[in-house]
Amino acid sequence: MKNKWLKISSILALAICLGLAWLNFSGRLSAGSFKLWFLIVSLVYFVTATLSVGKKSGA
Amino acid sequence: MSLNLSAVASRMDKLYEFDREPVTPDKLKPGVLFASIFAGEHVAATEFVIGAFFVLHGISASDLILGLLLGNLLAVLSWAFICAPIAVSTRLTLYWYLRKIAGPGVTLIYNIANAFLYCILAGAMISVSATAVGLAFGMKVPGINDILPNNLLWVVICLALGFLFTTLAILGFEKLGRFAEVASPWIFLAFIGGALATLPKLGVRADFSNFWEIATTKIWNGIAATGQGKFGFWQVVFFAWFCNLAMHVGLSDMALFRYAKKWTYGFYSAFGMYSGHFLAWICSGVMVSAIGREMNPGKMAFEALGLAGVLAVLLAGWTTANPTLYRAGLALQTVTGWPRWKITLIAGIATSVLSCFPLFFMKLLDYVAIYGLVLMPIGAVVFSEHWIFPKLGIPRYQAETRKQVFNWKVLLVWAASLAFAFLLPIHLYFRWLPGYLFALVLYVVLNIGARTPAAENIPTQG
Repeated sequence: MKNKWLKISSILALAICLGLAWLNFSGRLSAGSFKLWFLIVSLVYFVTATLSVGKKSGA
Repeated sequence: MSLNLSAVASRMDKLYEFDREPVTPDKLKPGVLFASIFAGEHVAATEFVIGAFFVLHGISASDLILGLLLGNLLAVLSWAFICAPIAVSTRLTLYWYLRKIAGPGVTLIYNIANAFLYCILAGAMISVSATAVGLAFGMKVPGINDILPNNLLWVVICLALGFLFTTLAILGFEKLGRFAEVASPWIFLAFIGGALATLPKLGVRADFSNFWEIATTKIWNGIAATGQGKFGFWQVVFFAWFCNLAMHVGLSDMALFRYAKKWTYGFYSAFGMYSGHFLAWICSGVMVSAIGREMNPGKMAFEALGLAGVLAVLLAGWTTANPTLYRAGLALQTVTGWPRWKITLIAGIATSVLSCFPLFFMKLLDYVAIYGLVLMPIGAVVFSEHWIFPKLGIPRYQAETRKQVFNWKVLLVWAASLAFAFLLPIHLYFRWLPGYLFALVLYVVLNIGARTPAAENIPTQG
């Protein structure tokens, strides 16, 4: 169950990264803010995805 | 070190022992797994360089898009109609199938050639990562026509990264390999995000209304950079087709497709081709245009995505170099018999030294062509033996039945078709195809004398 939420969180993080890029492209987010938030959300992705893969292989 | 061939062959067999037997029906995998493996494997550090080089070679936008559509289709068809059917029919890896056909001596030579080529590829990936790390130190990236390193900092960073990647490869491939699974979807997203963030800098409006105009005038404008040959439609087609020649026509992906339920799983390769070798190449082309067509993957990703871009290039380089170093270590382990850590260390040192020479990174497109070309004749030999020999009544697996260490006919075909391909007065990218056909014909001609009316063929499994 926990793994399912980790997986959903990681997919959500990827979707947010893409959304941020779109906001930047359409001029609704400055380049500086985009780069900062892209990095933060990417780190969230790596944490959740690594935990998700770790749990899957451990199971 | 004395080379006792039977001892080497025995060590090599032991190393590959776990996949000696054909895959049993209960171990076959679903199609979705093949789709995800392909999608993950073909978004790598090379994509940052290849897509950018297409821009530097002055390809026009329409030639690029149409060429990639056709070239990638040909690559998918090669997996589906050449590699997957043989893998599904035999359920063996190329290693074991080639051993039956060519003998353990030839598989040894094949392994060494593979290891050497892997080391160069891993070295190029370290160079790509060095461009990202070097940004923090204000490092000057070698020029596009440089062969030798032109500054000490470049050498230091390449060696440091090489040491780091080698240490990680020695510490444990499996766990790190799992991290590559995590990294690849994000790296793909970094390509898309980086290109999207770059488009406004090139002048593309938010409604995409002038995208094609910008694409044809500022990105793929048909003007080659100084010192770079002009590429056209057919160069793109052939590059996209042979980019993974060793895997499809060269049959090394038999290791993967022997787990496929049906040969049609070869079509799942489209998930890798049209994400990595189409979208990612286009995205890196967009990114390089925004930095004045400078071949500096680290800088182009940093300009587009900031620190996340640096991370993307670093991770892409590492996740490509890591399994490559591991494979090179495995291949060389069979020759020396040394423990894996020791041989990976030596392969890593050699790779790190190679990474200091910008030649391999700056001539990556030519290197990819040569890599496929060198291994392609083995694919032709196996194809002939599997499909053509039974039709002509030529007995198969002569090395196995005669207990030969070297099937000299295979070695002759390998050497002669390489010589033939290298002597052809055509562009490097087009040479593999006539070379492949030459190898097919020559191998059949050399064996036609062994034809018997009732040739005893060992039936294929599966």
